[in-house]
Amino acid sequence: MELPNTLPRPDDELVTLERAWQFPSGIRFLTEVNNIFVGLVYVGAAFLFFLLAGILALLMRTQLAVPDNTLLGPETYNQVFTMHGTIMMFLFAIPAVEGISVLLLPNIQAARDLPFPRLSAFAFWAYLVGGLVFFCSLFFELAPRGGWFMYPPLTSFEYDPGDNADFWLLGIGFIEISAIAGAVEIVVGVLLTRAPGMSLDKMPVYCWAMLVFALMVIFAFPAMIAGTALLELERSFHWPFFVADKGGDPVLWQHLFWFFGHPDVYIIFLPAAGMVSMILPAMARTPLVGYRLVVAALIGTGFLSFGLWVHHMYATGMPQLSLSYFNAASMAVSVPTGIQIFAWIATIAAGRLQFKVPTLFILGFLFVFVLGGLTGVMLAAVPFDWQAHDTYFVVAHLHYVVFGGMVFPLFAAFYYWIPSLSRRALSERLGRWVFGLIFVGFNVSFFPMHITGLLGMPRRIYTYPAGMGWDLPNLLSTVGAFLIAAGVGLFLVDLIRNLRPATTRSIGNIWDAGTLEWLPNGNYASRSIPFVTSLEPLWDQPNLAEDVAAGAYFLPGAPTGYRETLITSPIHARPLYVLQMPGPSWAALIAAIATAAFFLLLTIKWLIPALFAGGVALIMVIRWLWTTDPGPSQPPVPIGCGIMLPVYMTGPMSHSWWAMIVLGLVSATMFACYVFSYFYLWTVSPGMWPAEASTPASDAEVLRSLLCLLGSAALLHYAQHALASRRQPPPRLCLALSLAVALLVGAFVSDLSSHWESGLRPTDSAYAAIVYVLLANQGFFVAVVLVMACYTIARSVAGLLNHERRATFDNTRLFWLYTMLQGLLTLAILHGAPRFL
Amino acid sequence: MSHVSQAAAFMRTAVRSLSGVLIWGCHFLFIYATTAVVCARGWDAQRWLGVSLLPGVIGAATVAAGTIAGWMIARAVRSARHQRTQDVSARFVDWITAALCALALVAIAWETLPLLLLPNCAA
Repeated sequence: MELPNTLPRPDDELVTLERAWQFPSGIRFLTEVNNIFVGLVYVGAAFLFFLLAGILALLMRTQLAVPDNTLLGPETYNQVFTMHGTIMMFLFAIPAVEGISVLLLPNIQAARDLPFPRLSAFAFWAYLVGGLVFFCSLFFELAPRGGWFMYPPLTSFEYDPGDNADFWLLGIGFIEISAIAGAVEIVVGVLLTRAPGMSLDKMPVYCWAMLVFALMVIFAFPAMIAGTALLELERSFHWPFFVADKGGDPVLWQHLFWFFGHPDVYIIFLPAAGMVSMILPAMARTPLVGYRLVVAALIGTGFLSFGLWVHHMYATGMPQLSLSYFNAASMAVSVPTGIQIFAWIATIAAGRLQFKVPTLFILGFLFVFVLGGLTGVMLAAVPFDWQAHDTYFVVAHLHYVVFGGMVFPLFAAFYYWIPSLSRRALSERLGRWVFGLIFVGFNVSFFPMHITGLLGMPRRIYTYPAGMGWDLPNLLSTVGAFLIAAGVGLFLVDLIRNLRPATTRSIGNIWDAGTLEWLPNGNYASRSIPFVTSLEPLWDQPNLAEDVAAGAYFLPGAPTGYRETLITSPIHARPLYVLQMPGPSWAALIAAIATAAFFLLLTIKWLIPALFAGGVALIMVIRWLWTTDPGPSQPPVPIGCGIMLPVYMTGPMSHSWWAMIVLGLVSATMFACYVFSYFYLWTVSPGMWPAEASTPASDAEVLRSLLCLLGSAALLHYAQHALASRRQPPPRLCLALSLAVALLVGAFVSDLSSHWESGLRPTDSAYAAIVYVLLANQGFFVAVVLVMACYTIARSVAGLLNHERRATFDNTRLFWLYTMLQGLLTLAILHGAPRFL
Repeated sequence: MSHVSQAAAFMRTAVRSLSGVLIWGCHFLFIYATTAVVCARGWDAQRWLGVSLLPGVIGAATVAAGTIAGWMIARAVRSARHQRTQDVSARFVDWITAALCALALVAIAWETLPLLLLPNCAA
């Protein structure tokens, strides 16, 4: 095949490329946004939280080693187990898989970086700063103590006054933002930044796994945000969503939490499964058996996992028929999971397995995870769950699934991929000890918990009396926990001895793997971007690594002088345009710190400093965005094969358009959760809903709000045409946008005032509270549109908006359209439902 | 192909390949919501043409969902055969469509089975 670019390349081409991607020096190093830097520190921070939560686990196991122990009091123990679960789930597991994808995904796709590098950096810094402060709440007796799923009424204002629960509800707000920001980045990155030729059928399984992961985050996390918003409103302002006397229902929290919480298990597992599907073929020296089946299984698992949330709620008294739907869905999800496991076993059988450390961890994963899956099927059966509910059997099951399904593959990934990033590989000898200690320690620790659970030991008790038959299994569990700790400690020794991060001169492809992350690379990833013709290009395309490193493939330099990557079409990966990427920035770093500060200050009720931090975050985000819509400032550039690509794109194939669509999905899911809450509360307490004669607004008031929304839509449409038809935006574009936003605000204020003037107050009943939540949600979106409209007008006034340079306007318009649609639905529900239900 | 039609083509491909699990999602939400509302309102004793409300409505939804999923499988298999020597990506999408529809059929069948075994609204 003829190569896209002739060799040798001009001398200055590599120099320009290296200069564009050079890391800043000194303190400005912190402002770096390159995926290699952000990915490494992301994974490092997640591992730090793994260690911290592990120390908490050791404290718990020491307390439970013998009966009637007094090492930890009940209050401290409550805080310790709550923080252990919360940190492992929110500050370790999800950030670890996101961090690894930030680090690896661009290289696996031969992209230079993910499409929004500052967003990755923002997500990382917000998570690190917020996470550390959140952890420190333990030292001030301020840590949450209601368990990682925080059920009300135990966590509501009546039984948990003080700030402890608020630390959980608001303190992890930044984690939710961080995870969603990462998911937006991953969806757009997987769909639009693959190497040319890497069509959907040639996309590595890890990319599929991360795409499914990111979509699951987009649909699962909003339920968590909605739930925490309701519980915080109940705690702070006594809006009674979960108070039965006022028509609320504590089970509503469980629905919202587990609609997030159960998919969350698969959110953690699927990326790990993707890693296994990458590592195993390299270790067995054969392609993955059943690639198409594995892809279908990943997608199927992602979807079906949203139909399992009630299997955590079998003991809430729901109709048996309803429970059985979730029982059946839990059985159904084992089909695609089983397909993946059989594909891995078949791959081992088809190849010649090298018994290196990554292989050992994968075999450990298969053993432990399959056992966890089997106990999962047991617990999914309603009668068994009623017997084992809230016992140590559940603790054993969840650790077999989560530790087995995520931590074992994570260690395999460390040993497998570190040679691509380090001048030395990790030690094979130490690695075998690490695996042995962790594998034996894990089973010694958690297998006896099945027994203690079946003997009736409830979870979350801080001690127990002697003579219940629980003494020996608990002692064994504690011994096992310390064996795991020894294994992790040995791994740290291995890291200190051998990890030498290097973007150039890494030890390289020691496994003879076939995928693109093993191409020779630097800060800019690979020197040129290859054309891909198979799933394992390094196995199937001779001399690929040498040709890529010599610059024979696409985009061998930095033709605009800035950081760039190729944007390709989502199905066939055909080159579309060259994306100029933003470089290091203080703005993203400060915005992240201010965002974390906003949530944490809000937690301790320091409202003025919190507002100040929120203001700083907003200003910094605007500062960061101001330079990211450069317009068609450069002519099309050559990338090879005689192809000239534009360096700026607007409309449906631009990366920012896709990001806004994903943001719209997040917003719509959150809105759907509030709507679900509205109708759920109606089924629980229909008596709280007003009779038709006493609905809060007259037909005329509803019509007024409706006309305002439609007027805003018409003016926005006019503004779009005004921008498209003129080279310079006319003053009437600004006028149209100003009037349109005024009408949008007017529609919201009109609806809010009609409810308020009717005498309805959010503390009256669950009905009133959920009405005001729907209004507040709409108000939030209107406020965001207001900021975006002002920003767009400011760019227009500054001469940075015209019919070609219009990405800012397009993004604002998309968000605006969503807000109007949401406003119409809110209006229909708030005024239609009381009239028709 | 213009950028608008490329984006539209992707959306069509995404919806088609995910049709099986989308059908499953709609069916699952429908049977769960219907059971919740019927039981919460005490409507389970109502009958229509001699059939109890809950089994009637859920049975009809299951037949509809199963028929659509089955039709999608047949369509995808036919398309994959037609594409055998042509577009590899399109054949891949057909294959994924058929596999996800088959998984959806299994899940829909399992979820409806309890209707034959359990009383309608007993807690």
